Amino acid sequence: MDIFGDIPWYIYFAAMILKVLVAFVFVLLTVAYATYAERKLIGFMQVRIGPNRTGPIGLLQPIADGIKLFFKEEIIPAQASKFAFVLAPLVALVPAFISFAVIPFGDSIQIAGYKFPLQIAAYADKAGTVYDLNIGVLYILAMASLGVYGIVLAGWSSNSKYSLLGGLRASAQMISYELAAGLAIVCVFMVSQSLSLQAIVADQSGLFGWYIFRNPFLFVAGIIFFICSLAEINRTPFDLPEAETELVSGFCTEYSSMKYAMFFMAEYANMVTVCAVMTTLFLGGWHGPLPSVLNFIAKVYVLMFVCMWIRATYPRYRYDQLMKLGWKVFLPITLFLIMGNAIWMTLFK
Amino acid sequence: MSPFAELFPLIVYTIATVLIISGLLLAAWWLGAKTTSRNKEMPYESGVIPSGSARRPLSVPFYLIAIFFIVFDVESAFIFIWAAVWDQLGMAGLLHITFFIVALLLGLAWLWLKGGLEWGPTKQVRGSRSEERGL
Repeated sequence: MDIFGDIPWYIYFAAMILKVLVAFVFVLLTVAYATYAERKLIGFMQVRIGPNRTGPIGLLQPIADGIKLFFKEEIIPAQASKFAFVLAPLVALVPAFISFAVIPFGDSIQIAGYKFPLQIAAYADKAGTVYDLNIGVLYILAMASLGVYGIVLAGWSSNSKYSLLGGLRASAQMISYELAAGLAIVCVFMVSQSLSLQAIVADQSGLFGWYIFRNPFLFVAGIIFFICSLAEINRTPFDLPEAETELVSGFCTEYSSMKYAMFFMAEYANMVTVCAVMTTLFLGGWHGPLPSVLNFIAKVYVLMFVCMWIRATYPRYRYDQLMKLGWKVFLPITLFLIMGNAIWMTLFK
Repeated sequence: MSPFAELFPLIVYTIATVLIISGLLLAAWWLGAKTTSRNKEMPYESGVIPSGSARRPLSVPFYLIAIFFIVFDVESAFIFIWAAVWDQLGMAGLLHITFFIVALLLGLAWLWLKGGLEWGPTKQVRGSRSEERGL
């Protein structure tokens, strides 16, 4: 069993299964309660109460919603392309979950003389050297691109005009902002000299070690990355694909029951992933005053709160404004940031 | 060390996610009501009976955006590679990438000037439309 490294195979497997379970359950629970938190928070921000009937202060609301959606009828429009229609929710949700696999959610822990890195795609050998997927950042970018397929498939296969328009808008928006988001994190590679997320987090210890505080260019890059990520996952103020005043529900107009819930879950799972990536690349990952995993969770939740805050605050963009912002503002700025960062780092080595 | 050891959990996680989500979809299909009718299976168009197929031709700007994306994304792949080793490439690498990025920016400026990034009706179309209305 040498292919699984030099630690005993049963320890390797036990650690792997445990990590997979913990990460999956964490993302799933966060997604479920993010919907509750969002409704409650936006309720308070608009001087309403929000859900408060199911369970104490409405805490059972996500569970009630889930059970209800399970028992709803699944309608497949007669003119839809059946296979693509059924496949689309799966293609939208899976990348949102699996990009979490390369994110280190805590410091390595030591149990019975073996070291276990808290990251799914990683392992440590007997000597304690941690190996992880050495192209973690590229993997995250790749998964973000895969999410577009689910939405395009959903929009096209429904064979409905609203869906088609929503799908088209979503795909054009996502690819435009993916470009700026990808170029914004080039500044991170330049500082870290590595694409492995373990290495990137290890390099950010201490408060002013966080990449966002390293130099002014990285600070701007971090903010641009966060905004572009919001646009890429179709969050307000960039939620044009599902602008309900013009497109009913956009690409998922024809979906019902659990399939509709899948798109909803994909949106929130993407939000968790984006906040986790932002934490890892710019905000020091699991470094901080608390135990490592708690730091990570706290930072992710603060960023998710910011997402909801933005949703309650800003009105929606118009489509031409959105594309203008992506191509005429963020793209040139990120290209300049790369140059600026290179010059800064050469001068202040 | 073996490169497989860190990749294997990723594969397991992917398979587990696909299985669990398909399981959820299947369970919902099995649990949900199944009473269909012709009206229910019609595409939703705000209460109007839909006419014709929805597989309509796309607007050209969407196609242009897709082409621009491919051009810029391939080029950003070169920038990624340079950024990961830029310290070792030194001044020569920096000069090369400066040239490359300036070329990219010039390309973007050209698109901008030619109106490839404009959305909505152009000035000429807007002008001719207002003429038709007698304005």
